[in-house]
Amino acid sequence: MIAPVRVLLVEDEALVVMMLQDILEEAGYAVVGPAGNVAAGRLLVSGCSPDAALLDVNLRGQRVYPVAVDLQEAGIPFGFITGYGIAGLDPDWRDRPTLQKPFRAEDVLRLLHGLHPSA
Amino acid sequence: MTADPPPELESLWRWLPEGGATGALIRDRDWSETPLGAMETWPPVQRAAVATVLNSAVPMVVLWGPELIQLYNDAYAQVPGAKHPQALGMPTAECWPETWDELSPIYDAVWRGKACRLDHKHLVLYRNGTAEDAWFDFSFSPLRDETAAIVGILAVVVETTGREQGRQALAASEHRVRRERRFLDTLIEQAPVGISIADAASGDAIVLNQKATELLGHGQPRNALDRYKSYKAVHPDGRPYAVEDYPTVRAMHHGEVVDEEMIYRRPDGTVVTLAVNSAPVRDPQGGAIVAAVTVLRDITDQKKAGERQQLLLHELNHRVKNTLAAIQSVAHQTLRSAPTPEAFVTSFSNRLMALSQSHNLLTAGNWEGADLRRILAAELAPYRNQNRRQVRLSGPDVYLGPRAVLSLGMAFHELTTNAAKYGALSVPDGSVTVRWEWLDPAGAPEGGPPRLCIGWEEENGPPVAPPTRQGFGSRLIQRGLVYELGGRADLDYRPDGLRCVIEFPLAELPEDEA
Repeated sequence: MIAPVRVLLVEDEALVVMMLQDILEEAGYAVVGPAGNVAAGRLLVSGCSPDAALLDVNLRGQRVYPVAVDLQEAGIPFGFITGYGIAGLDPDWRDRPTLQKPFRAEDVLRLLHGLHPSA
Repeated sequence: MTADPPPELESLWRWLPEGGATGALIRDRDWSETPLGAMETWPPVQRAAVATVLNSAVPMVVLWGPELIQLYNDAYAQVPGAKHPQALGMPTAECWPETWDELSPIYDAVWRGKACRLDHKHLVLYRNGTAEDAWFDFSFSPLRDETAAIVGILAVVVETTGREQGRQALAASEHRVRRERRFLDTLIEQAPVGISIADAASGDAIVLNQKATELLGHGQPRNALDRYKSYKAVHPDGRPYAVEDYPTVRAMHHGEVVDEEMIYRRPDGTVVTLAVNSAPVRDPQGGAIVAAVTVLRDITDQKKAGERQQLLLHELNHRVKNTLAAIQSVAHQTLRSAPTPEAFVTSFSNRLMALSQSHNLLTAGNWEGADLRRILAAELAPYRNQNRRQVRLSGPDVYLGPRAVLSLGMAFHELTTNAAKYGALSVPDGSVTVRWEWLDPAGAPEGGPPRLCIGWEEENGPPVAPPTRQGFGSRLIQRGLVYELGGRADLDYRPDGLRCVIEFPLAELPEDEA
C-alpha cells in the first residue's frame, strides 16, 4: 500500500478546517495539522515535512508568508486560500495557485493534484 | 456782409470789426432806444473794448456801465445757452438772476478797481430752462475812460464744465475700480481655497492669500523661482517636482492650464495632498503672459476618505467571503449526517438562524463583541419564558470578542438542539443549568490570560446513551470550538443527563479581518 500524500493545513477558521479535512480525507490524503497560526505552521513544516500545503493568507491578522518562505526553501509545493482574492495576495506570491473562499471540493482537489500529481 | 454801409456810418465800420454772427447782431441792432444809446455816441473806451472782444477767439464779454450791460463775442455766445441772443445788450442782473447773489460782490470789487480771477468756479445756471451745474474760469478787469474812471468790466469767461465732467467720470470710474478691487481682495482672502497670483516678469507672488500661506506653510512670499527650490513636492507616482514642473511656473512660462494633484511636504514636515489648478493671465493687448493664477485645495481628507471606503469595501468583501465559506462548511457537514433531504433543510436552516442571531448580537455591539448571558438567552429563549422555566443561567458578566461569540453561539445551538431532541428539553420536567465562572488564577499559566469555565448540565431528562457516531454538534464542540478558542471542551454523556464543560483563556486574540 502506498502511503497517502500528507497535506499541511494552515487555516484559523475551524469550520473551514473541518470541511477541508473532510474533503482531503475522503479523497485519500492525510492531513498534517491543522495549524491556526504562523508559529504552529512553521513548526509543522520543519517537524513533519509534509508533501504539500494549503495556506490561508490571513491568520487572525497575521500574514502566513513566513510559512510560505519555509515551504519554498524546503521545496514543498503549496497553494493559498483567501477571502480577499488574488488582489489580496502579496505581489511576490501571485504566481502561486490560489483558491478563493468559498470553494468547491473539486477546486481543492484540482489544486492539490496540480501541486502533487502523484495523488 | 450785405450792402455797403450808409455814408454816415462810415466811421463806425472802421472801428467795429466783423465779429461773426454776434458782431452782425451788434451792428444791425438799433441801440438808440437802449440805455447804451446809438452806436455813434459810444465813447472811445467802449468802442475799443467791444472791438477787442469781437476780435478775440477767446470767450469774452464787456459788462458796460453801472447796469453791466452785456456785449459779447461768438466764442462767448454758447455760455448763455437759450438766453442768447436776448442776452446781448441785457443787464447782467436781469440776464443772470440765478448767479447774481454770488457774483455781484465780485463785480463790486472790480468796479472799485480790483482785477479778479476765479478758477473753475462752480455755478448753477438756468440757461436752458432747467437747473444745471456749470464750471468756469473767470477773469475780470476794470475798463477805464480817459479820466481813469471805471466805466465797465471786461470779462474772459472760459467754461470748464466739460473738464469737470471728465474729472467726475474718471473719479467715478476710479471709485468703481477701487470698489471692485475691494470685492476681489475680500473674495481672495475669504475663499476657502489657497489663491496665489505670480507676476510673470519678476516671478514674485504678488498675491498670496491666508489660506495659501496655511496650505504651503510658508510666510511672506519670496521670489517665485527661488521659492520653488525650497518647496518639497512629489507627483502622485513619487517623482519629485523640478522648479519647471510646478503648475504656476508652467502656466507662467508656457501658458499651460494645469490641473493636477501634488503631494506636498510643508516646512514643518506635515504632508498634504493638494489639488493644484494654474492658468496664465494674458495682456488684453498683444496676449503676452503677464501673470499666473493658482488655486490650491487641500484634498488630504478627501483622499483618505476614499481610501478608507476602499478598505471598508475590501474588508466587507473579505468578511462576506469568509461567512460564505463557514456556511458552506456547515452545509457540507449537515449533509453528511442528514438522513433525508427534509432533515437536511431543517437542520441547515436552524444552524443558519443561530449564526444569524450571533451576527445580530455583534452588530448591536458594533462588532466589538457581546455578552455571554445574552448569547445563551437568545438561543434558549423558547425554554425560558413565562410558560416554560426549564433553563437556569448563572454567572458573572462576561464580554466576549467576535470570534468567541460566533463559535460559542454555534456550540450553544448544537447543545440546545440536542437537548430538545434527545435530552432534558425534550420533556416538560427536564431542566438545563448553565453556570460560568472565572477559574482560580492560580491554575492559569504564569502571567497568562484569565480562563473562563462554562458548565452545561442537563437534569431530569430521558436516560442518556453516548452516540454511536460523532455528529456535527459534538465535532463542532470538541474540535472546532477548541481550535477556535484555544481551550478544552468535554462532553460527558452521563445516564442522568448530558454534561458539557468548556474552558478557555479569555484574551481575545488580536481581532483581524478573518
